[in-house]
Amino acid sequence: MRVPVLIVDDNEADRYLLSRQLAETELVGRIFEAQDGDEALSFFLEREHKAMEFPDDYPPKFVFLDINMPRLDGYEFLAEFDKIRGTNELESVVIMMFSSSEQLEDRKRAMAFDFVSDYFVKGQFSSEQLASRISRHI
Amino acid sequence: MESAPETDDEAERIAKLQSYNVLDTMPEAVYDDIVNLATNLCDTPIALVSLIDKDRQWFKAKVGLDAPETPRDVAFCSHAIHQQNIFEINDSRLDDRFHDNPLVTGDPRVIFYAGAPLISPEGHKVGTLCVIDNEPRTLDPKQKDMLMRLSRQVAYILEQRIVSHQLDVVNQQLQTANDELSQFSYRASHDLKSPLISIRRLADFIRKDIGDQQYDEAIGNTKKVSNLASRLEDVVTNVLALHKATDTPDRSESFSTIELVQGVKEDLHWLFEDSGCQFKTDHVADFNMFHEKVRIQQIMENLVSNAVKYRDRSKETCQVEVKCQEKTDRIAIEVSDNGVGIEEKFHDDVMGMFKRFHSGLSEGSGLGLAIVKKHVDALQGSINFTSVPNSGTSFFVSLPKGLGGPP
Repeated sequence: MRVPVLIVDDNEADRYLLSRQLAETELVGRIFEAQDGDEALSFFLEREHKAMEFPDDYPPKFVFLDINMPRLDGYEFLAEFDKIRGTNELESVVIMMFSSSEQLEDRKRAMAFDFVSDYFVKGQFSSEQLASRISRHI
Repeated sequence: MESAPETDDEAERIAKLQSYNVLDTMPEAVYDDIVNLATNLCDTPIALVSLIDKDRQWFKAKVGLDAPETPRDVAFCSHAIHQQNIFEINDSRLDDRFHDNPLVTGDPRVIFYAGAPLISPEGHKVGTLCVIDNEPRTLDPKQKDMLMRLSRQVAYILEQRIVSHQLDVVNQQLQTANDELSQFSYRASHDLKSPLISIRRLADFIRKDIGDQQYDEAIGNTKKVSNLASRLEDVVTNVLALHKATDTPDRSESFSTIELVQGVKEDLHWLFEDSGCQFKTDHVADFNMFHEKVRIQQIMENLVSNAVKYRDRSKETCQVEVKCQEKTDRIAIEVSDNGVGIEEKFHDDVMGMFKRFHSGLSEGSGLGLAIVKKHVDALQGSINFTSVPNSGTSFFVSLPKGLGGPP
């Protein structure tokens, strides 16, 4: 079974690169995209509407989340997501960070949320590594 | 009773006292030590460091007295600050000026008083170091000399407060600059590194696509590489511009508003050609100014190119308008557009570094308005804006008229 994912990144090329790597894992089905945290948050707030539109794929199993983005950045999204998780039946959603920052503080700050399972540094992981992390949760 | 008049230098004297930031502060050991020395030296029960404020005398240090302050018009020290040397009253009950003073007839019963003025380096007498007794006395010449010496110590310590306050201010500025720098290098390295990583990864895929004969995919990916490379260029250019905006010597020159706007038009003509935006300059008043043209032009160019980048593509015509006006003592520049606007919740962050508020519209460096702000600050001007989402944004820059003038 292939799982749906959401990629949240303001950079089009980075969304493309991750989509391709995810396709190579052969574990992922539908890929939703959001250009920043604000769009991603709306995506989860419009649960009823989206669930009707994508009955098989909503909510996505994984969210790949960039940190530095306009409007709502990755951290702000995590804080907001934390608030709506319970009420919007999103407990099954696993967030994996996807950032170019190698700073330990960034890693710690993101991983402090218990629904954040992994921290990928852009350009520093293979499709095999991606597959092994994903298969832990499915 | 006779109250002392104000000093001749009253305004400057008060200003000096205020510059010490000492009034109503907590006791400090260094002043307490000196009043203790003074009581011992003169063998009196009371010694004070008294500062003469507008309407009161306030005691920075005191021995033998509880009151924190008294009204100025009954203060012996108000008289003492008219003297260059020790002001001594041996028996106030016999002195016309003081015999009926409430401080003499009631507590603390000031019968003997000797005060040495606290003289600032500029010559303002901000207060006294004084000793008081409840019975008549006379200081001997040695005690007077020592009391004067101690008063000079107090004046010196007061003066040091200014130096240490300045150090605090400079330290605070350094701290802020340091924080800004570390924030800056974090973001700059992110914004430089992130497109580079993507370019490397895209190159891997392009190789793979060509191997798999997926030429369309490969061509699409080379376009992505170009976009990322332009973004990198943009970041590097703007980081340099930001640095220059912070740290450039004043190069004022004489120029007309028409020349200025013409320069902006020429520099940005490609932007208008590519976007199809209209550039309106009908309300640019023609006048000359003596100013740092380079900075003003960069302010305009950044604001105008933002207006184009964040145009509302759903509108039939996109308009950007520049206005210049000469006011009595200011120059007013306005750049307005009918673009997508900025949501109110982001208004406070607009001038910050690496701030972007629109996803998908433009992949700018987020430094444009930070550069504008640095230039405006350097020109001692001000900037503000109004913005309504989906309706448009107007930036208003106000600059002082030419700094100085041509030599």
